Amino acid sequence: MKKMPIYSLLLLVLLLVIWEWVAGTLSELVLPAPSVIWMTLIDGLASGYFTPHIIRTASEVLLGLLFGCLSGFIIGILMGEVTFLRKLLFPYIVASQAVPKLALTPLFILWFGFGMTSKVVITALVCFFPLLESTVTAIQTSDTHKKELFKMLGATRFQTLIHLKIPAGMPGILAGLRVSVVLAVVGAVVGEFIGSSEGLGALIIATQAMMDTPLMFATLILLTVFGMILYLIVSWFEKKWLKRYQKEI
Amino acid sequence: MKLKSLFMAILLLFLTACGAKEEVRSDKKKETMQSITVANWSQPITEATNLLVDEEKGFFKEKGIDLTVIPGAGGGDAIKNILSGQADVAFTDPGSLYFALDQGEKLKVIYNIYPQNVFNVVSLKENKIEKPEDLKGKTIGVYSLTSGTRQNLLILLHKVGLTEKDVNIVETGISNFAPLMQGQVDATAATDTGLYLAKQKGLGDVNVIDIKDYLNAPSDVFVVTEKTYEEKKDELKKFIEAYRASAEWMMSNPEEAASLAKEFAIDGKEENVNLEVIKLRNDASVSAQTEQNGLGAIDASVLQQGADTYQRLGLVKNKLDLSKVITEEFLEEEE
Repeated sequence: MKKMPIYSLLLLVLLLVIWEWVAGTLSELVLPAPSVIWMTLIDGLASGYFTPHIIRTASEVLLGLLFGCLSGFIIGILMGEVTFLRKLLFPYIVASQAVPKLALTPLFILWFGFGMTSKVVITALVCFFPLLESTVTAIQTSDTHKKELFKMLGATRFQTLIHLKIPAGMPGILAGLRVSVVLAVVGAVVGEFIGSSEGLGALIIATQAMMDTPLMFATLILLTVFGMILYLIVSWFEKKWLKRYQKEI
Repeated sequence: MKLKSLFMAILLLFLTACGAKEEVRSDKKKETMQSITVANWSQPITEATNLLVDEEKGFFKEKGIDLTVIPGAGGGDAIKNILSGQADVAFTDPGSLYFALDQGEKLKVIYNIYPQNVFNVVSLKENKIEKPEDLKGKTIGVYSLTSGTRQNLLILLHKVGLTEKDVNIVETGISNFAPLMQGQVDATAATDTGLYLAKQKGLGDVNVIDIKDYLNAPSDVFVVTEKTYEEKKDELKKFIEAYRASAEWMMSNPEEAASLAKEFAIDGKEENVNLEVIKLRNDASVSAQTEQNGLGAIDASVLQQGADTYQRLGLVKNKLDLSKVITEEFLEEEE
């Protein structure tokens, strides 16, 4: 099992070699070789061609994450704590999530304009639900014995929430955040597909018209790396939290 | 206190970021400037470099116009954006104009951007498609079923007595030369710039049927709503003057435009490609009519012919009278 990372790396190398070989028999328009994609990526990064697009998409993702997760977390706590609110709002929230966001994108652009706002709103909506769902579950499923102990010690409802329910539910909430960060990248890119002049999503559309398939792959790599970095940051934070929390227990 | 500062920081970050594209340019001169928003049919691409470089060249600023260009995904989008009040002028194709007029929208055509029809049908030499009649029974790719490529293909078929039923039209997306090279389609309906780019990407020997040889309808025009036409005459006049100046600049300085496209156009990565695309669009901007009456001159009879063909093809239901829609009011040169 210790050798798994090596096997995983070998598999990647093998796949890249096969890809390079197959690409040699096809037009670059149909399937560019990994070496060509790599050169395009390096060239684009070195010349600064990708920079404004990366900044734009990263800003949309981070702002969308911030607003989506913050509202998901706050509403999640309220719904987890107040049964009446949960029963009242949940059917509507589930229904709102069942609507495909891509279909709503043109409308969001009409409502929120061609700037960043419409993309931030789409991203926030995409991130909102996983965090809400995980927060509600985390708040509701905190340890009954500990809750009773808090009650016996005379803790208020707010104190129980802050010192017991939220810290204890953090692993669940962070799992929701992990899903949200990956979805945030998808949300921003989908938003940029329509009505955007800048951003990695807009660049993907432009590369199709430019018939520049290597550039499209290079953009996809950037998006993948960005999503993975966000995911790893949350995972790292999750590990740190769990370590600290377990120590406290 | 800490929470309050955090909240203020977040709010500030949001306001700054969301305003990034809308660009709050704070020069005082701006207050006296008249604003015009152009709804483009596409993202900011190389072929429209003259519209994108005002920051650098100031064609519109000089006329007192504060120009904003918003992106779109097709000519229909551009029209929707002027109808919804998001923009004043639509950079759109005649097909989208006919569809909107057919729906009863009140619109005005104020400038002929590309009087030349830039659409074509391209096939590999080995497929032996040399004339439109050879398309019978063949599979032909189009960008999308609502795009100009399909509409122009239908016009071509109609001109030689064929209909949509005589061929197999498939939607291939905007990378539509790949299926042609792979042999998944026998021919593809495209544009001159698309053909140039595909040749750069290794498209072999091809036969090209130019639609302009059958109906040389304009490829793109500037369209406004009747309301904008009535309320913003002064701004529109200045806008057209500035656009004309920008188009003339792009024709006389294609190299400079190609270089600026690297910075201002989303697809302007390679300067040599930009130059060829710009040259193609420069060629499409002139016609016998523009030689006589200046850039932007509108040939009403060709636009009418296009509308009549659309009606015969069943693409529009009503008989459209283009003479009521076209105005050359803003094209008159200042004394």
